[in-house]
Amino acid sequence: MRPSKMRKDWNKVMSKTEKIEGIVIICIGVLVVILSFKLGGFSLNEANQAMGLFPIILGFVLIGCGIKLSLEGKKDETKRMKWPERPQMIRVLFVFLAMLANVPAVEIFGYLVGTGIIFGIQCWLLGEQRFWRICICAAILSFVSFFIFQKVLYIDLPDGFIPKMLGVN
Amino acid sequence: MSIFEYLLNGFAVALTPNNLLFAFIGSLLGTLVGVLPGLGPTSGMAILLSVTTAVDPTAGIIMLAAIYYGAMYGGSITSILINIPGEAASVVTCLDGYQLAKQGKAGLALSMAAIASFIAGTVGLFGLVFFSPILADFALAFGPPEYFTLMVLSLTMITGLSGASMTKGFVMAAIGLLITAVGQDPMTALPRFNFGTVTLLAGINIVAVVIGVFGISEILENSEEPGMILFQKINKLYPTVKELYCSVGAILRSTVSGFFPGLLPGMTPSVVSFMAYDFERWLSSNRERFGKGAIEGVIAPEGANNAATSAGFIPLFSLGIPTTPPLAILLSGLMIYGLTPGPILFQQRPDFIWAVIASMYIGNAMLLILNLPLVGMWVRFIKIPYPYLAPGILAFCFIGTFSIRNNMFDVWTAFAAGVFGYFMRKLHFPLAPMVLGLVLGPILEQSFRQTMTSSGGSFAICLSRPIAAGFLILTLIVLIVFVLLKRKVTIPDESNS
Repeated sequence: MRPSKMRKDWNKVMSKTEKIEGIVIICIGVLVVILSFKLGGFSLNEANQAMGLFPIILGFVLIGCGIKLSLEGKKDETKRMKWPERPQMIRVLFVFLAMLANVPAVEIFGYLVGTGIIFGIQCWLLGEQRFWRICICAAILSFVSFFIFQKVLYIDLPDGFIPKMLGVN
Repeated sequence: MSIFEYLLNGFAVALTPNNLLFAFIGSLLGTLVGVLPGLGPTSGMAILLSVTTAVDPTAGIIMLAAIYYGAMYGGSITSILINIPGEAASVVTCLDGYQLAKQGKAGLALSMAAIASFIAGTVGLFGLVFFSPILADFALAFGPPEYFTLMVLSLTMITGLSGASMTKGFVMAAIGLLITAVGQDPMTALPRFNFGTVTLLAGINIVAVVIGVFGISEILENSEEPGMILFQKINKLYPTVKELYCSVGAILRSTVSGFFPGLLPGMTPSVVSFMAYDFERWLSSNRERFGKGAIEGVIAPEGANNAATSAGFIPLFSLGIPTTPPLAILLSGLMIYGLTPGPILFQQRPDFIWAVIASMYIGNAMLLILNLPLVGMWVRFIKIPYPYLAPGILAFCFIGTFSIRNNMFDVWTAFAAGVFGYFMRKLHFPLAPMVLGLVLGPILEQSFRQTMTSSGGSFAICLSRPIAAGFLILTLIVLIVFVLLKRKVTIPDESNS
């Protein structure tokens, strides 16, 4: 499929999404209202002092805004969001996945090694091809940030499961 | 004690080596935040908030404030040299700044931007010194109804000014307020929306959400197209006496046009800089020069955004109302230290408040002295390739989030908020109202329920008290004005820039 055709299809999908964004907000508002009702009564004299009152008002604000947005969406058919091309979207997705991998990497290998690995992967995903340069930068960033935060500012960074098991701190 | 004596005491505290060092570090980091495209003052301050909590409250807040005004200075460098605004308030500076750079006058544009920023920022601080205590004294008469209506007015103004659609602004403000409802009820401490989990009982961390919504989402958006940057050379750096003399009028006008709007909630430095630029162009006898390299086109937005930055501290310190998202971060920083800004803070902790104000004078002077000779160094920072810059910022987002409460749940929260922020940017939902909602949520709910309790559940109490009624009428006027305005003009969005 040609990129222009893909883009057209993508924008078509997103145009539909814009129309339903109001409905999504209404749904969130309804959910908030239901959950707020479960919190109990709304009398200020009750033991819980109407703790559901504030959220329920916000729920109704969301429902109102959702209705207005869905009506606006129907009115203005020309309003279309500019979504990125598929390759760009894939890059964003991979950068995000690498970011998510940061947590298990740090919990397994510790901050120093985990951050270095994820930094390197992200550099590569964002277009850097020189392996040696990635390694040097990853090592510098991990060591410098570790030194500043852990040693100078005494902020406790994760030790990691493997270093703990090996008795390395 | 008089204001002058308080200020002198403030200088005595601010000039201690420790506080001086943190003002210096804050100014440097702030300039770096302003210089780096893809890292605005809000996300920069949110990421660095955890660093400031590692030191004592005075030094921490001095550093946080320095990061804010440092970012305001720094943003102009990238606008002038590479036509990429480092932060939203410098968008207008690109128009004439980059044109001047292309004409070989990058040095002149940079130096005039720094001088205008310094003068406007310093004059703004005089306003802060004299207006804050007066406003704080006035605010002593405020009860829950006044605070509640004032916060409603602030949220309405910020919502109205932060994007093309007011409805979307209200949605974001409501989401921000709802996030603060998770955890424990502020009045009864009973669990609320925690779905039976212990993790959610402590609530969703505001800083984690802000780092995600501003920092991570910005990185994700920039990852779509990590592009190349073209620089303009810097030749003559310092202006001549004649050039300075000719610019005095523009500097003073930008100070006034930035300071007074900057006092109002929602009048972010980015909005104010647009207004000041338009005002300067309207006053000029030679309007066609604007956009082609007029030095006033650099002075007006830069002076105005720094004056507005200083002015924003007045409602924050004296009323506890943040007028912009970075000031909301500063407010959450104060809350972390257990300090509640407002009239009481001036009475209870004058040493702290006046030290922070005095440090701003010092920080402004530092920035002027440091920025010009260090332009070359800042340019090198911009040259860091994006494949290295983005993962580096993400690593700092990770530390910034993790270190708040030393738990991974906050990191996951930041990631989730990052994805949410990315899609909200794409769908043109403004992010600023959400941050304000996050910060004001607990105070707003508390004052609302106190108001309702004291009146036996009747909202009429807000109409029977003159100040509260005044705020409500203002809210109504603001709403009507924005509804009419939105049909005619598009207001720049601070967060989605």
